[in-house]
Amino acid sequence: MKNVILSLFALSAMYVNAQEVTVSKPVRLLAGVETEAYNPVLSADGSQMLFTGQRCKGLKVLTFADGATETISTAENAGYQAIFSNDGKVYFSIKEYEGAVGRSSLLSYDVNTKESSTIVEGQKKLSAPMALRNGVAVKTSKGLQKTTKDKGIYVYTEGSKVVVGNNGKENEYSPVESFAGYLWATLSPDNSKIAFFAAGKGIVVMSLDGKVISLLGNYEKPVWYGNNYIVAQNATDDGHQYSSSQILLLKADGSFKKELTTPTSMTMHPSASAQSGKIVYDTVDGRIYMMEITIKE
Amino acid sequence: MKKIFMTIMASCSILSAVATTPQELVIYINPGHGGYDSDDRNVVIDPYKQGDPEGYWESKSNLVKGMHLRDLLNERGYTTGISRVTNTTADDLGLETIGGLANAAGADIFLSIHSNATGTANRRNAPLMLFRGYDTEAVYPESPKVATIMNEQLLKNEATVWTSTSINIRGDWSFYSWGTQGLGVLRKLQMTGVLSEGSFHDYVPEAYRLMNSDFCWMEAWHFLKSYEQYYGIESKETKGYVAGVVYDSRLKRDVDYKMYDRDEYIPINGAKVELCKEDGTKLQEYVTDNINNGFYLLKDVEPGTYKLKITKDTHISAETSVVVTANNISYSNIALQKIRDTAPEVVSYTPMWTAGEEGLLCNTPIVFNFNWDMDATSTEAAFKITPAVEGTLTWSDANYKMTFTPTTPYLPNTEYTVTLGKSAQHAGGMSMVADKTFTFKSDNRDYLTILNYFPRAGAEVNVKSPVVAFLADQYLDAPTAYNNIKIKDASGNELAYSSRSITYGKYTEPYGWAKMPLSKALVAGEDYTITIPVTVADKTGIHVKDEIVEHFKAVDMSVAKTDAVNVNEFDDVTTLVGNSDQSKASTLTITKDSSSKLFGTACASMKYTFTEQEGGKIVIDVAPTTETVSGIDAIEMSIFGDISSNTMNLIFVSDAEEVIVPMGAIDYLGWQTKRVNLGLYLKADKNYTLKGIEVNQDNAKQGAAGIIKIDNLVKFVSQGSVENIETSTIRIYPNPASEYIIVNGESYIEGLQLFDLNGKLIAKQSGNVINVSEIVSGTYIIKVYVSGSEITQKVVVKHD
Repeated sequence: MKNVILSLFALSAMYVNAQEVTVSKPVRLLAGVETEAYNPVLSADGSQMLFTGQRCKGLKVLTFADGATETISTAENAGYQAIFSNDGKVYFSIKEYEGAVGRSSLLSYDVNTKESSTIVEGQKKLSAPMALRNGVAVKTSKGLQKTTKDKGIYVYTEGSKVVVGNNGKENEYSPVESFAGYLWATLSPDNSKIAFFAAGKGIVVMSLDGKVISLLGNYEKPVWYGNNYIVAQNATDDGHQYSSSQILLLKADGSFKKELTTPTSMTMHPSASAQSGKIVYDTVDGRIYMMEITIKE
Repeated sequence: MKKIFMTIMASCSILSAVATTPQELVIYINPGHGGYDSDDRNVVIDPYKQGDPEGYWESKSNLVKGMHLRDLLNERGYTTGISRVTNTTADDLGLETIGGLANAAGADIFLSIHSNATGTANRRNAPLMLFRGYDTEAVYPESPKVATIMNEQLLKNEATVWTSTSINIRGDWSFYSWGTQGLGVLRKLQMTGVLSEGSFHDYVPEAYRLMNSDFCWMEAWHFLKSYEQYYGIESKETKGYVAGVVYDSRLKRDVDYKMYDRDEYIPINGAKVELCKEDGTKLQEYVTDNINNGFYLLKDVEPGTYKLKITKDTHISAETSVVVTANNISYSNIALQKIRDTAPEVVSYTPMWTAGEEGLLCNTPIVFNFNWDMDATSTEAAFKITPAVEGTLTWSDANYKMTFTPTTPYLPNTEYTVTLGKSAQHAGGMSMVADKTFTFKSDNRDYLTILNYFPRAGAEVNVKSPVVAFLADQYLDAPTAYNNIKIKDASGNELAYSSRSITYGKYTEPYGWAKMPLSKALVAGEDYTITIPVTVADKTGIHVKDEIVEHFKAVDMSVAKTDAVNVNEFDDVTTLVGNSDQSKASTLTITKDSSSKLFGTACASMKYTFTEQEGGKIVIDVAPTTETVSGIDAIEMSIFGDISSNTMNLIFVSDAEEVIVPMGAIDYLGWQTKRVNLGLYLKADKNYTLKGIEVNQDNAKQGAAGIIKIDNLVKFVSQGSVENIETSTIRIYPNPASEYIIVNGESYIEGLQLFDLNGKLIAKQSGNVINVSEIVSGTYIIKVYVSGSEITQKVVVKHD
């Protein structure tokens, strides 16, 4: 465990734009602690942040209050799709190879008790874990698996379908055409809306019953900031290497967009917590930054 | 570690067996690039022009291979995913997305299909397989095995010409030798992955082959065999294939691109290849396409020995034997001998002209097309034109065509007689039966009319992003402009253009133009020379009459003037609104432009088109600012001209008085600082506010549409900027930089080094971005490693 000195509160440079979104100057996290860090994921209250290393190897958690980091896993791919769930645990997947065949497992980690558990093992196909009230759900090649009887709402993508689970029943929606498929489905904190990415179309916001609310543009990796805003990345490439990448704030109804970082900042993989006002993201060369924003409606 | 098995879960056991059947495997296919756009790769091959979607594009052959591979795999029971099935910009997915889709599909192996280019003048042709990691330490250990098998499989293709048959598999971190950024498309994968550069598309004979869908199918088939080999899957193919190319036995391609071995000979279009039993019974046939590759492929052939009969009406038929085995491609490349058994004759010629018709262009070439490939010496000796004209005789189409090109225009309104004597012989030594004689008359347009050019004599040109422009009355042969118009500094050194950024007019436009950005900034205060030689020509070859040599001066227009006051910075374009007084303007779009601004955060860009050729006007209302001007002031305004020759006015208002202040003609390209003494227009004792801007259409051909940009209107102050760097091969941006310096180009950027001005290494990074957020503000030297060469540029790091 290492102590991290964070200058989180030394936010001297504040600026306000015409849309009354106040954005703090980004602060680099984990400087001098981690050579490279990627894929930050904030807890709902913004008090903790998951992050991983190069090629998603390993998973650690940073606690902002004391700046301490703690290793959750050193496994390959552990940082690819980790989440904080509502039961206070961290859920993450790992992938292990036996010869030519890779198998994924879902694990949990209790930040308080430091206890690790294997939830699902040896899956050829494993979706990103989906937070439920008292646990987690995950879609495997054998179907949906849950750690709780909670019949709450969850959402995942499968090919060019968004699957919405609610009250023990799943409904599938394909509200926009996308040959290559959908990715990164995410529920708004109040469980009223879904944002996902449709390849070739961009970010789509829809209601739980599959009605398109807005098409926000050809951006990737949407995450909710509160119930009305989405943070996403806008990356371009030349077919082999990134040409630009920035973080955007988008209003879910499509009426507002703000660039939180510049296109040449090479920033990507945002995570957000409206409860704390924090947004974190990484850069192409493995630096994690945090900014704080306030939105006056 | 405690294991939890929830009762509500379906029981799931750990599967450890290696999958050995197609039904257990998921293959994800990424046909690289897409969209015929800036991140695609276009190789110009005759008859296609640059940018023609019908021509060769890497995205297209990648897609054809990917689709064939998907079909081959699906037919055999594999589960596949593919990142695109069409070729548009929209489905050219981001790197993050492609990796995400492959992961979500639960793919066992990811294959990104590409072809290669040297990025240099060298040409070669061989496969290269890349995987994530170091050569000796792959991120996914199986990737090198898969890559090796794929490489071996692709090398089995004997219809192409390989310049190397060595196995060439590399970890991207080693290949680019700069660290661990590597290839973006492999970066997010959670499985064994390979990026295949199947062959070199800038080796032109290969580009022609890659235009053939069946040739691409062979690559896909070899990928299929790779999966079978890797997983130990026994192929159920009981039939075999026959493939190869048909080419001329003697005639070589009359081209200037690099060729090796068999590729030097002309591939035969339209040749019929028949597969016959040994008793002569035809089983199937393939006719080679018309895209200069001579390729054929016969599919689904029962194992056995066959005859191949190859026929083409221009060549002597050939027959050969081929042995076909199951699950294998048998190759047979066949050379055909041309038929030459009659006397040579002129089968067509140009110009064809009849007395009384209008005269022909004064540079009209004289072309003879023959029925045979001709003997150059005897045929050239037999050529005569009266009155005598200086010119050159050239051969093409494998000596089937002889062209006389006058080096000076024909005399206007003059009748000429052309004769080709019967002593002309073909390659077989037979002479023509009779002389060929014809006449034509020239017209009265012997030279190109110049509409405008920039820089002109005495012009002041902004040091940053200088652009040379040339406008003429006819559609230009653009290369004659950008290859021949020269800019030299006072020492006589020629300045290079940024070739990637050169633009020129379309055939449909009413005039011709070319705009050529220089690759480097000018030096403030230095004198330069522009030379427009007589070789600059329109598409018909009519060229400039007299050479133009003029001098201009470089000025840094972003230098702050300490005693000036901002009146309007035009950073906020919402303060500019096109009003309803527009006349004959079909469109007006006002946008914020932060890339080409001179001061502040942005300039305002006004894109307009007029519906007619003259008399149009656009009027833009400007929201008032607190700063006013009066007749004792001079103003300076930065106006980015579009060389339209339209004129701009500012409209100032004081109470009910409205005054128009002319800013002059926009007959230049790029930024100019226009200074006006307001005492000429405004009263000294009144304060005026800028109310509007108007642009009046000139009746010049080039005035119907354009983009004019405006930056600071000042009484005196401004601030500076430095523009991005563009060379012929790379783009370095932003400059100045505060977070990252990014480099992109046609080729993979291997790494970057940043040095201070004393030569001390400050930072080093693999890939195409380098972080400068913690580097102190100042001027640095960046060294870019690309395609085995180094490019050095000066860059600025600047933190607010």
